[in-house]
Amino acid sequence: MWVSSSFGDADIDVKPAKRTASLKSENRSFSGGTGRQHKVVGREQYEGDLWVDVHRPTSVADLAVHPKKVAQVVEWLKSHVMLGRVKDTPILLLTGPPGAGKTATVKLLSEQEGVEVQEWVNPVTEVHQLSSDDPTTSRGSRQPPQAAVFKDFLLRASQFTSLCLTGAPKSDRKLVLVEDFPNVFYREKTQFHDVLRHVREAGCFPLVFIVSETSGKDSRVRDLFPSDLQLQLNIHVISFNAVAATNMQKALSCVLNKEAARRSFFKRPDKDRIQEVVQASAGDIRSAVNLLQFSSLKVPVDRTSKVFKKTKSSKGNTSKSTRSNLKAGKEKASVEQSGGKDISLFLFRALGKILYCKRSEEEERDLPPLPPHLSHHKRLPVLADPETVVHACPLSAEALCLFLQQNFTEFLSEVSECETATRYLSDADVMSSEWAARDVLSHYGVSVATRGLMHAKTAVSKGGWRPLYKPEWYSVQQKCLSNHRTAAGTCVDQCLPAVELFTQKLPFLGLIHPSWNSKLGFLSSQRFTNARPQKLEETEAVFDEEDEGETQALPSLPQQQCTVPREIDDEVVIEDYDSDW
Amino acid sequence: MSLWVDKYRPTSLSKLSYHTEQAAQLKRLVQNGDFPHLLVFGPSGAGKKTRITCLLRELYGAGVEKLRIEHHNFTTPSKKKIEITTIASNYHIEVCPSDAGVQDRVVVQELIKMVAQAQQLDSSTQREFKVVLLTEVDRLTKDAQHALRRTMEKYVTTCRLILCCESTSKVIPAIRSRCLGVRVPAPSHEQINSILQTVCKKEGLTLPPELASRIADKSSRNLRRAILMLEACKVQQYPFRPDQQVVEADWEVFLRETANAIVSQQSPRRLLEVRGRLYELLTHCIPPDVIIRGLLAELIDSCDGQLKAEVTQWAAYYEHRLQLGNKSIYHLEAFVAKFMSIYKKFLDEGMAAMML
Repeated sequence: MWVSSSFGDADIDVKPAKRTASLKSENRSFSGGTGRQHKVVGREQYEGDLWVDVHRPTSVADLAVHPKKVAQVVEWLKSHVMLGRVKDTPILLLTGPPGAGKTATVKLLSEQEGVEVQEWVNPVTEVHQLSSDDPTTSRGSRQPPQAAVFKDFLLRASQFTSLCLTGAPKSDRKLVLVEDFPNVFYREKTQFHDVLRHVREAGCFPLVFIVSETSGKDSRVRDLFPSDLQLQLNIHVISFNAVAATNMQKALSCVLNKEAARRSFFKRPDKDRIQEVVQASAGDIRSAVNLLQFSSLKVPVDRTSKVFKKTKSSKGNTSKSTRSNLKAGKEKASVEQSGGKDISLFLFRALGKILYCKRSEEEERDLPPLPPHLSHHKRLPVLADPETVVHACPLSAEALCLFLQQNFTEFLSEVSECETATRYLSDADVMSSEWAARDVLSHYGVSVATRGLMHAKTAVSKGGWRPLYKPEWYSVQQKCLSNHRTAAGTCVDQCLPAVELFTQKLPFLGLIHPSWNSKLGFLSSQRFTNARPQKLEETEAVFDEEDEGETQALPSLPQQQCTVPREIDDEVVIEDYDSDW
Repeated sequence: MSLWVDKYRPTSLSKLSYHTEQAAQLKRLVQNGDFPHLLVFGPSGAGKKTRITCLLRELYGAGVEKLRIEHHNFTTPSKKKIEITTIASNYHIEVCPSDAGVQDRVVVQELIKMVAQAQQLDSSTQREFKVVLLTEVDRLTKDAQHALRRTMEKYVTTCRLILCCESTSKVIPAIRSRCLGVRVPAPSHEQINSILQTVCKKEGLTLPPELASRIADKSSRNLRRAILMLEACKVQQYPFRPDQQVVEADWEVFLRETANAIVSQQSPRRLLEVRGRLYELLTHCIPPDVIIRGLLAELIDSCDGQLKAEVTQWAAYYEHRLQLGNKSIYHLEAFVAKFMSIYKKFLDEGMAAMML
């Protein structure tokens, strides 16, 4: 996470960039070096400033974070920070997706409470300027290892208050914020853990760590703060969720209000646009504001890029803002290309487009009418082109088919429709089963599946939202496999073919010797229970939500439903999902 | 404590209680010390495996009963590791190559090579060949079967193959012609009856003949199943009563309930429920083709004459697709939906005719 300075200043030294500032003037766009500060403040504000910086939340009410989370942070601050110096440095860990408002919350709250924040920013080094032929001297002599610098910073920062050189009112309440972890720690986690343990003993000001979790596979929190360490050091964890759509909307309109107040000739984007931005950002408030700003710029393209460059050059220093800039750039590009729709959202919408299958009101005029014996195939033209939907969807053809199969029954009202739908799904599976030709045929397969489903639906779908579920197939597969292994491992001396083992021997074994049940967990007397499918969240990108499904108790199954297996392991699902985009 | 099925399994060819003529033939076959490759086929629970172990014992003596479990590791050309479990004695090795899935070719070749290259230590007192017993040959891929054909010829001096499968229809003709086919038919009701009685006598129990014949009925001529049912009945209730209910496997009960659910209502919602139940069956490793056959058997009962043919045809159609396809649930569900649709149409027409 080292970001080279775009200032090109020669005087940036290799010392750690400890930045101490009272929060009144705290701003994200600080340079990483010690040389420059307060770049934005006091300067004439102009169009090109990022709204993210200009309109940062100024009160708790402005925060787009869920009030409960804010309350949790407040509580922690009250119970740990407000006491001043304490023994056994309390440590707070904030996790959550980027743009969930973690940093904003901490900064705003500590500002309110009058707590001084000291933040670590990775130092900028100038290794590249040194001659490369003599690495030992150039490295060893000039720079202390980054890890040592970090440790030094943490120790000092958590032990001593800052000298008030700027004349800001001095308070003895202070917290140390680390958001930028020196990258050496990603490789050597134990080193980081040692530093933490040391600081915990020696320090007396609280530490706040902020870690952005990007996707389900990201293991930064697990690596840097494993759960045993969390217990050992009594680390308090508050995990933020992505900003909810309603909160986001509120925050965006708030930003727009402020912007309108600032600039007289400002033209507000319309409601739909805001809605689109909210949906596209998938709970990332930073990218949402950026997107909003860029989408409300009504300037020729070349000027946009100039503005963009300017903002970048003025802020490309701290890693975070660079990231947000990059992200904004990416978002912008995607806004231009595809309307700024987000991947995870798209799965939900893609499914919806196919399952709801909206059709236009009027018929296509130029087509000749169907002959009478085919008249039952008559349908109005569909609004969505299934291939486009599939193409825009992040899932593989196979996974998409599974999602469709899992959900189609809710959208069909007649059994005959179901029959058509399942027939096409079966066709699609046969098509894509040939391994060698799969990459070609799977496209046809998914086309058959989507078009078949759309064709199967004869009635116009009544309005009303229906929940979508994740396919159970993967978990079924996995459980089957593990059951298979357990059985094969236990009954290896029985030397029976698998089919006979499972259909004949094992069921009776469970009846004859109930003691076997404990050996083979799945052989319990309540073997058959109905598991519930998992709901697909609207903006969900990974499979890590708790399962909220519906149970349909079959009347013929009086007492076999009591247990629902909780230990549904989604590992396979996640892999498949991730590998596909 | 072992199950009755294992406890009362005959161990020598002369002790076999049915198809005794065939047993005598097998005995004569090995008496002169050599025999060709064998392909033993017949329905499940007919006693193929029992016959083979008896044969091996006839061949090698009691030494074949000292079994050990071995785990073999193979590496495919694509550097994928396969682990396979075999059961072996000093004289034979038993393996189910289809456990390796699509990579079974490697297992077949490597394993036979491994066994065949090691000569018997003392061939004067023993046979000069080992036996490789391959089960579920019909589930081998075509690739593996062709590989098997070549290996069979190559190592004919040092090893004999006994192939075991339910039906020869999926075994390639080249293999069929290289083996002596031994068909083991399923035992008749009377044979099952008498075996059940023998088992009970050995256990010191009295079995009412009515119950024995009902168990034989329910077992559908599968001896293993019959003995398992008998033991389950004994656990459930002893002394036996003639009108005692015959215990069935739980998945069969579950499948019947599923079929009833299909017949009692035909709606998308019911289809969803049925899917949940199908998933449940699949989770417990019940093979999809067994499910579709079981469903058909249950559904047929509640169908009218002309419907039976149609439903059976569709079951066959979707079972075929099941073999072609990749994910069984699609085809199972398609069959259920098809049945629901046909059945509902039939009911509606019946209702309309009644109204007229």
